[in-house]
Amino acid sequence: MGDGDLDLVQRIAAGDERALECLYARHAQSLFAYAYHLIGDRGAAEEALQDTFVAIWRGATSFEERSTVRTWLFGICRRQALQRVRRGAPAAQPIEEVPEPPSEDPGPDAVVLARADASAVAAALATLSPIHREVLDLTFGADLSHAEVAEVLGIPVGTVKSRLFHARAALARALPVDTSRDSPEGHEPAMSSAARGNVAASVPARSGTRRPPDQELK
Amino acid sequence: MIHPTDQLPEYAAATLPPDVADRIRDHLEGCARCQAELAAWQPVAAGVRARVEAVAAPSPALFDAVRRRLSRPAVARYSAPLASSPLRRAVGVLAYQWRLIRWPAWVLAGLVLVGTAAATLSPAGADRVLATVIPLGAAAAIAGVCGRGLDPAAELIGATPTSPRVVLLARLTSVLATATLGGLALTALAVTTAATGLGGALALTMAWLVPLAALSAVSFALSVLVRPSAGVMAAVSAWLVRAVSFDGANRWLTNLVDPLWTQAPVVFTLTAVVMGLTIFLAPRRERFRAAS
Repeated sequence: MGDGDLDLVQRIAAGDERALECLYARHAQSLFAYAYHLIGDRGAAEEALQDTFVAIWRGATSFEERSTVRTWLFGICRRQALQRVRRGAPAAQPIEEVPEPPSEDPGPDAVVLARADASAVAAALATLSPIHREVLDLTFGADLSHAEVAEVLGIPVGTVKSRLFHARAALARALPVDTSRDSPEGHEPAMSSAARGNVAASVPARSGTRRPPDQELK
Repeated sequence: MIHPTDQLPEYAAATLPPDVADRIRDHLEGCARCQAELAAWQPVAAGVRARVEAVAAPSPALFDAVRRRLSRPAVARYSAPLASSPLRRAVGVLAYQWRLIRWPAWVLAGLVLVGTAAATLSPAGADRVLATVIPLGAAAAIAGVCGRGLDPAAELIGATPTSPRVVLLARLTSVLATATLGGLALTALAVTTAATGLGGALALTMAWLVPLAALSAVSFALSVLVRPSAGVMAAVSAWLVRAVSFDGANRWLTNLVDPLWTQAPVVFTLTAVVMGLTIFLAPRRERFRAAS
């Protein structure tokens, strides 16, 4: 798929409108979701998406393959979206970036999260600070690698990693405490044995194609 | 044992290359800690995806709107075609900057050139005329072309992977090359009319080339890092002090700015350092501004 994107960008650089349409068909949905979550307004997100593809059309000749096409697209889309965020742009948010490498044992947030279901997590995401939400959106929603996220956000890869852990901790704090399934800590592993058996086998590796968005992990 | 803790988010997102993912899968088999860690990422991944999927598709008419805008005249592009040689790309980046200069700038530059040429022919002293006009003109042009916040195409440049540093360097090169070529042409004119010989020609060239470098560096650094008016003000101030000190009445003023006009090796070295630093700092400065 990556190769296909590059080919499309080269055709766009040569002035091929149909190539732009193909690129749109491939990426518009995830770019739109990303822009929508940055701005919080459908109309403005649609404008940002429109401007993104116009910028791609005009800028395709100068795409130098230093980044992947998808990183480039998300970078442009981010700029277009942030122009429409009057206040509360992610970069302007206070950051809790005390360097905090993941500890030796999975923290309490791991325990809380392992019990949460997707809809509860999705609801809790809405309460996160934009800076935390964005790094999660790019990693799990846009399917970008840490290096690609770093490029889109213009921050070091190490910061992406630490920000992810902070975001996860914040997410765990935002989750409602589920007392019905609560058990004394330390008496029980964080996961059921069935889940553990699944873990290793259930995550497909990237094998040349990206997972379609509707294919869930569970 | 080294745990792949940092890579587990990517593993949960399935964005790792297959060989790395395989290695992590092997590790997970025997590591309860990493299994628990991964089990904490998976609901996060599922939650983000659920939230992304909940976003309804953009309006079907959106691409038509994009297509309608494609036919409009495009803003100048900033780089030569893909996969061309570095030299062709450099020429492309340089050439594209010229399209941003509007016609009043050309008219003004032409008038200044003609006026200076006429003044050079007078017996008053070509060196003073050239040493005042060329550096100031170049400093103003640098502020106008490279200055922060003046660029109609800044957003577009920001949206392309052509480095902002490269664009800045291209613009600086354009102005300096133009000023230097103009200065050399005027010098040649003065030398041929006055028949001063090679030594005189060299002295005359240095008379404007040294302040050209000094004022350009000042204007460039301040225009890019602070704002264009700061660059112009600093250059004009230095220039005024020099003009005032021509009669030699004010010794300390003369001593203050004279080196900018006379100390060639020092000025050229400092110019290179200041310009290099400015180009290095420019994108950081933008990022800082965007964040604050």
